[in-house]
Amino acid sequence: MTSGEHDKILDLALAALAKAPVDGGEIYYQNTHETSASVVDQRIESVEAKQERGLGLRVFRSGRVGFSFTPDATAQGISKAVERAVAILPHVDPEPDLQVPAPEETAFNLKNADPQLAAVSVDQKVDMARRIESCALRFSSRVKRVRDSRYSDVWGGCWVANTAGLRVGYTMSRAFGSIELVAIEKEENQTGYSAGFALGIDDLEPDAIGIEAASRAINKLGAESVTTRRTEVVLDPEVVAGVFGTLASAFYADNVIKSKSLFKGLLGQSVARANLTLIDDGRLPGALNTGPVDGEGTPTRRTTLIDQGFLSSYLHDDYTARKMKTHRTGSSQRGGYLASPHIGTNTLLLRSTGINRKTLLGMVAKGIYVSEVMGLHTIDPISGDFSLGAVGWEMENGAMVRPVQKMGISGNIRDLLNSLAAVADDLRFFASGNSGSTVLLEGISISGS
Amino acid sequence: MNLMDESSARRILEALLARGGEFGEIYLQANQYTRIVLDDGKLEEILSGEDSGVSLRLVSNDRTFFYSGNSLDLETLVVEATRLAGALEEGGKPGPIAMLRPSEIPPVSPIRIAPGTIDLGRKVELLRRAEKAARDAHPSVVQFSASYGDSTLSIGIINSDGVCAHETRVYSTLFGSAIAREGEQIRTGYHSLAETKGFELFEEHPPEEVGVEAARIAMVQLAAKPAPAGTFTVVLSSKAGGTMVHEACGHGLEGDFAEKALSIYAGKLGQQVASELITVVDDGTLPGKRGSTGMDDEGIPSSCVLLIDKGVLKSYLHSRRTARKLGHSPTGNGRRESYRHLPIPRMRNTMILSGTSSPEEILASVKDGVFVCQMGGGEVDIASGNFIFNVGEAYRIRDGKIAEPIRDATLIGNGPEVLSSIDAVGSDLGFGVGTCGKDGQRVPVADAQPTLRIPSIVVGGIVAPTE
Repeated sequence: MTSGEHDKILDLALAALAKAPVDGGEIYYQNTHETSASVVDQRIESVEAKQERGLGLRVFRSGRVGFSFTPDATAQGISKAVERAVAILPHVDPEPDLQVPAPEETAFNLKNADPQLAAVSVDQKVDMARRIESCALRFSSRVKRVRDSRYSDVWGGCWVANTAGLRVGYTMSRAFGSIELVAIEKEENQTGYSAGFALGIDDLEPDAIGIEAASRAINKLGAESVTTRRTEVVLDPEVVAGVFGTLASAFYADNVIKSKSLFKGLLGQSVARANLTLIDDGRLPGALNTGPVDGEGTPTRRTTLIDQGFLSSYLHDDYTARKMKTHRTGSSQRGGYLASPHIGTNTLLLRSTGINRKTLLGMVAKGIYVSEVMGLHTIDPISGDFSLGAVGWEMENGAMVRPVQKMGISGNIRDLLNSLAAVADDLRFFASGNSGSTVLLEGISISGS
Repeated sequence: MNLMDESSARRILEALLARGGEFGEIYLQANQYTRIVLDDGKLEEILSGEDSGVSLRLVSNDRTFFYSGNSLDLETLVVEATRLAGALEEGGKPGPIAMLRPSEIPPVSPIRIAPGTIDLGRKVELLRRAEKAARDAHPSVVQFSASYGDSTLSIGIINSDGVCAHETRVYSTLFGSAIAREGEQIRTGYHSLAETKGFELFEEHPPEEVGVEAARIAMVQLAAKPAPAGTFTVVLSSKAGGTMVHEACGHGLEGDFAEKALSIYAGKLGQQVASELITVVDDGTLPGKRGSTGMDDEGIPSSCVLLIDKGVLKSYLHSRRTARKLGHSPTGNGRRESYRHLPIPRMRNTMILSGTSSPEEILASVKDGVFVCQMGGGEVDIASGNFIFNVGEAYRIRDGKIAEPIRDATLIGNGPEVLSSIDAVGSDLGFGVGTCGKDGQRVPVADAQPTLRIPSIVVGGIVAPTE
């Protein structure tokens, strides 16, 4: 992609917006490539290449916003999309705080792409997928089958320009490795999955991915059921990442405005134990969702959401910041050119309470370690109620003594935040985009026989 | 409608198979859609556009090479086809291309009112009517959000076996969520309409239905107590939809899991995997149902597949690839979210067929248990067969009668264990709708079941603290 290409397209779109019967407008241009190579039993299963290139357009008129998109970046394609967006305006309700976002100075000193990634050959990709698989198979003879051992990557760029004078963009790259496999022993099958990512292929750790997936499957073999009780529970970092990833929408300012957040009206109040600090960071080196600007071109930053137990901020885009008379947090996210921007997290982080994982586990005399959960998408982020399926371990004196499955873990997020006894210092970024550390909870409902 | 002429298609297929390969395919898509969101009393967002694109697939010696992009330019596609062919060894003999047989697949669900003929204002009005009905239903309903969606999806499939088929599918949906509040208690109720129909769906089911039902469930939730924790006898009402069959056996019968012997159901054709009372089909031919298709996304005509017959495993759900691997016939279950994805085996309309017991008698037979009237989302672990699903509306059963409502329950079980344990199957049948996610691809599905009794299953709920 030449550096002039995106500028030419942005110029075409700004010219089309200047002629349209609107107060202003915004263009988002995406040009990304994705490839993947999948291997099973060391044989190539599939090699894929995708190109995503297109524009998302917003037009603004008297507090009304219309959105449209087009993969056609010619002057004709763009003006048709502008027409479609303008046609929507009479049907939506006005909201005076919806305006063209103003530009803001930012530093572009983030390392967010590996320039070598686009040049990686298909053979190198296939080899990476093969290495992940062979590491997993070597780890244990009980790993009998592999569903998919995969290398994938994405690289390209996105640019935002608007009629208020904003024009920013950046390039990015990420390489991923993952494997899904099954361990078998005495008629019992258990699944293991693991994934990792880096800016480029050279920084991936195929051995770690393969070994983690294999041990997850093996650890579940022979799992029994649990007895129903209320107990201390340790959550695995990946479970914590999933739970906080789902809880995240309670911090979105638009949900607060619409009374669809359990944190509405609680700014400055205690919402969690005093040892809990939760941060969203858009500029973390090495995280998945890192970039200099958000989906509206606003600089990303670090925002403390819960500060030592007290709710200290929501996540804002340009509209909600204006409406709630506060500053933007760089939290506008895009799911590609086809979708309009919405508030979302960059990377959520739980601050450690200053102990390591081993010490944390040692605090549990009798309890349950939850290593995986099912049904995260069923958590109700408005009431905060959750009831998940889980697998893990019975714990005794800090040790994992017996694998368990077909277990329920239930409660309310508000209670969970107040039952958080410790957070370990083993923070890890997951390929899902969330991060997590080992966490100890007190008084959690476990369902079983 | 013609998405590509035959001579262009032939040129691309020839480039794709230039160095050999058993199968080449062009998949074309044009999806015109509208999505409208009403939230907090405001018409918040309208999205309207066309997502069009193409993908190319080359299969050689069981390896798949795939490209997707949104340019329909012939020269670009020939270049990409040549690039895919370049993955094969040089000097291979060109793969065979059969004579193309153009066919228009008749719609499985005849459309009376095409969504494209209805102006935006009338679509917006549906949402306002649903909202008014929800807010009028009860003063405790403090918030309502709804979304309308329609999609007119044109698909063209041209492959080296000679398939040159075109189908248009029309989807209409209306989803509503009501929030009821009393003091500190906030509860949500959902309801949705989703079928392969045009705008006539809303003549058959007025939008008020969505508002009133979502409000009713939110009010029931408000009155409900936290679900108990432990093992219970559970009656799943036919009204509850079919999440259970979807999670407990549907996914495990998908051919990709069977072919690699990953699923708990793999290698068990002809064996008893469920109670004799259980017969399961996946039917893609039911007019109007959300999972119905004229052909699948590989050009295989839709049909009704008998999966489990009186408890005996009869078939898996296949794409072309998994059918070939296992030496079975394709079943028309090769589906994809869009041109961006490879087809994989997926469910369509999956159902447990009706039995002979009276639903009232099934309920009356339970002394102490849980009665489930609405199932929410679920998830399954294919290898172990362990599954969970969330419960939207449920009640305790005491002495054979429906007692107090309970909330936030999750049912946790093992597929074959639960299906084998079912000891009563009702004479009724109820449908549910959903969007199923697998390998990052979302496809529309429906499922159905009669009233069922599960003698013993874990209910994930709350254990009261001991003082």
